[in-house]
Amino acid sequence: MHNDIDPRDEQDPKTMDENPSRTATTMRDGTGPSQQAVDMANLAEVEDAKLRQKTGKSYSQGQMVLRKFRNHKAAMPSAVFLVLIFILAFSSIGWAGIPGWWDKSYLTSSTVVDGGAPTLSLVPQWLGGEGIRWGEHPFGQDNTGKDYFALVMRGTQQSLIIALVVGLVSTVIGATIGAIAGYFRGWIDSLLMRLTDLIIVIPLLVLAAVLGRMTSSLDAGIIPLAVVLGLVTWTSLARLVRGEVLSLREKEFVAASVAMGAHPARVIGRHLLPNTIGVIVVNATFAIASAILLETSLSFLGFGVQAPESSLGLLISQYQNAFTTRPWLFWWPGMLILAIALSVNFLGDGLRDAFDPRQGARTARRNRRLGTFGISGRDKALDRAATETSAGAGGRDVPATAALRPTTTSAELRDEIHSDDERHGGPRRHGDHRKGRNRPDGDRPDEDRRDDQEPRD
Amino acid sequence: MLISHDLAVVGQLADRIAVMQSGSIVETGPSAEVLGSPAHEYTKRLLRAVPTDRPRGTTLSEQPVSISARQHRLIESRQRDDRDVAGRGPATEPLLVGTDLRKVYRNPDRSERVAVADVSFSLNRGSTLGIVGESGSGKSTVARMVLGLTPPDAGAVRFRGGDWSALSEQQRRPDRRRMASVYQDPLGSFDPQWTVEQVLADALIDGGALSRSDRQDEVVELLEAVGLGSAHLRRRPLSLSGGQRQRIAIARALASGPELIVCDEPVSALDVSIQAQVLDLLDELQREFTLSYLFISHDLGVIQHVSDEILVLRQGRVVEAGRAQEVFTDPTHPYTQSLLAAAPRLATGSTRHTPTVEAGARP
Repeated sequence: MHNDIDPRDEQDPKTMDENPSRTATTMRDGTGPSQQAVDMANLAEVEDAKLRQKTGKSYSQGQMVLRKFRNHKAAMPSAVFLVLIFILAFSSIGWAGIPGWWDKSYLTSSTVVDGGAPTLSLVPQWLGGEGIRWGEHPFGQDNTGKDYFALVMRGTQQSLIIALVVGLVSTVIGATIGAIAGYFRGWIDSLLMRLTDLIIVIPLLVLAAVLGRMTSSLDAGIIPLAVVLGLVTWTSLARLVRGEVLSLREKEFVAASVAMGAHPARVIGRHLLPNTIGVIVVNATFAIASAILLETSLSFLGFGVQAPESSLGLLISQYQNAFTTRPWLFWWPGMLILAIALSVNFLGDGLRDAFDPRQGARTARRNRRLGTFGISGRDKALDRAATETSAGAGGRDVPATAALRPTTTSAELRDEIHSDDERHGGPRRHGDHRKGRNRPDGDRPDEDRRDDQEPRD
Repeated sequence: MLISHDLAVVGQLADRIAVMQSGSIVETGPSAEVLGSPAHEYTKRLLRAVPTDRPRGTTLSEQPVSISARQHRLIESRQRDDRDVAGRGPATEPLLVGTDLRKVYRNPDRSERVAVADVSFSLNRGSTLGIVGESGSGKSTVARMVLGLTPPDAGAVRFRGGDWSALSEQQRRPDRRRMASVYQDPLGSFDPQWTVEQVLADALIDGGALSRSDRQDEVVELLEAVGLGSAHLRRRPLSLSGGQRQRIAIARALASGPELIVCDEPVSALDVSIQAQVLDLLDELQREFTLSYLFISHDLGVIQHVSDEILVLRQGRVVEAGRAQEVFTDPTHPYTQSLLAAAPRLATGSTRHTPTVEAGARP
């Protein structure tokens, strides 16, 4: 289906001459018949030559994804920001006994200086500010005089650890269960999907709260809580992977693999899962974002991390009453949660676009400009979409996606973030890996190839 | 204006024909003239490549592809081992036997649709069974049952003198590599993420036991066997042409050293010249390794060219079965007759483009 012959190429006699004929090496003699042989095989050669011209070289999926991801305007800064936050959180107060560069502990109290106001100042003196300085307590102090910077950094650490562990656990469980259910179908599928339904119907927050309470008695830090959260958040991924595998297993290459005697584990591991990697990676990032928010909600409600440990949600819940008097106690953790959750979501957006095979760099870039920040250029883009036959892929198509996601607090928050995109006509393509396949205007067989011709930038 | 690579269709529909090669028209004129007495070398070769009415074993293409000596040895030793281990001579029972195969699919509304009903056949070593029928006649379902991908609802497939469809998947797995398949849509039959090298290495008889470089050598030999080269190793199926993909599919089928190759419409997506090469390759391999083919096609010309025995399917039932020549020259069932009558043929008849006449008559 991808070797559509472009008639212009066919009529271009140069196509032939530029490419040395392979058959020339297998000619038997140099006279008439061999000339025939050359011409005969040239029919195939023309076709080959065309393909060579179009592709240049065939990129692996990984290379293409990386390239598209690097060009993503929101995802790359988000990734950089996350890395910086990560380094800051772990290097400042240290971790697991390793000391960091920040000398104050989040556990020790001291006298409250200046009502605990932050000493951080970013406004230079020549602008009428207090000059750029870090100060003794950059984020201020809490009631008991603990350094708030250390507390917030500790909370960020916790959030990041939770994010990674939950992302890992839920992805592994979800992908495995989804792939097994989709591959074997029948009673195995029914059993696994009923199990999934069972977990979905229990309100996630309640389930997590109960399990979180149970793990907090273990006194083993945040990891058990993170594992437990992972154990209850794999459901959406399992369903997505199952759906993907259900359609993939009907492909002939799976039949070919089975017919060659491949063990089911091999078929799943080498064919099915690698081909759903886009769905898995994208979903993992969204799972991470929702896990951060879930932990925050739990801690806020008092079921997650317990004092004297710190967590961003716990900090907010502890100081929500101080909002009017000492707003920094609320703002620092609040802003960090927002920033982390947004970054991870943008990261997921970027990955989704990058893994979307039908999205060439050109359309992707346009949609991104539109969607990510939800600002100008919409009409212009729509005009262009109308003139370009295929460009509808992003601008017009706004599938209803809320139904795909489990209704958790985090998902709602996430949808809210995204609904901004929708209002501004931006791309809303969550779950496109499954849906887009049948979309008439999105079916661009040549998309990949065109993408290859795009200049690198 | 009709554009096609199918000469028979063009011959039947068009009043005037223009033959194009490499972007320019090499011959043009009234249909009967162009097809009946072609003036240009290229037109003649195209006509020669048409398999219809060409007897078994006739070479269609100018330069048939060949298989390497190493691959030859591999398959031979494998076949020798088989005979020693199994202790079964090839003559005791036909290689593949299907008895009263039946497959019923249930529609969403609970009504039943009979895909295959009471289909029986047998296939001897070294021969070809052609299955022909219109779309939806159950050809591919038969192929899937033979490959053990779909269990028959009734009846049984026996392979190499033992149970096949009755076995459990675990029991069947060790012998699966004795059967290979070439699918209609070569692109769909490759994992889109795999390179050609991965595809072929995965299919090798004992690929796991070889070192990396040995494995690559073997893959290159396979590629050369089907007329490709090491330049294609790192390519992905998406970036190959249709003909190349189909050749890779055949290379993969050969890689496991099979005794039976199930070809499900292997050439229907190819144009005549490549189709001719592929058919010649299959033919040569058959003679060299006493391979057996279960050859499925809706193209009567191709079926006639490759088959020893023919099975005509209609709505899941066998309407006619027998030796290829008999079925084609003297069809007994009205459906076969109508099928033969409906097939577009070159109006010029069969005598005019046999190789000798053509090569000799027009220098």
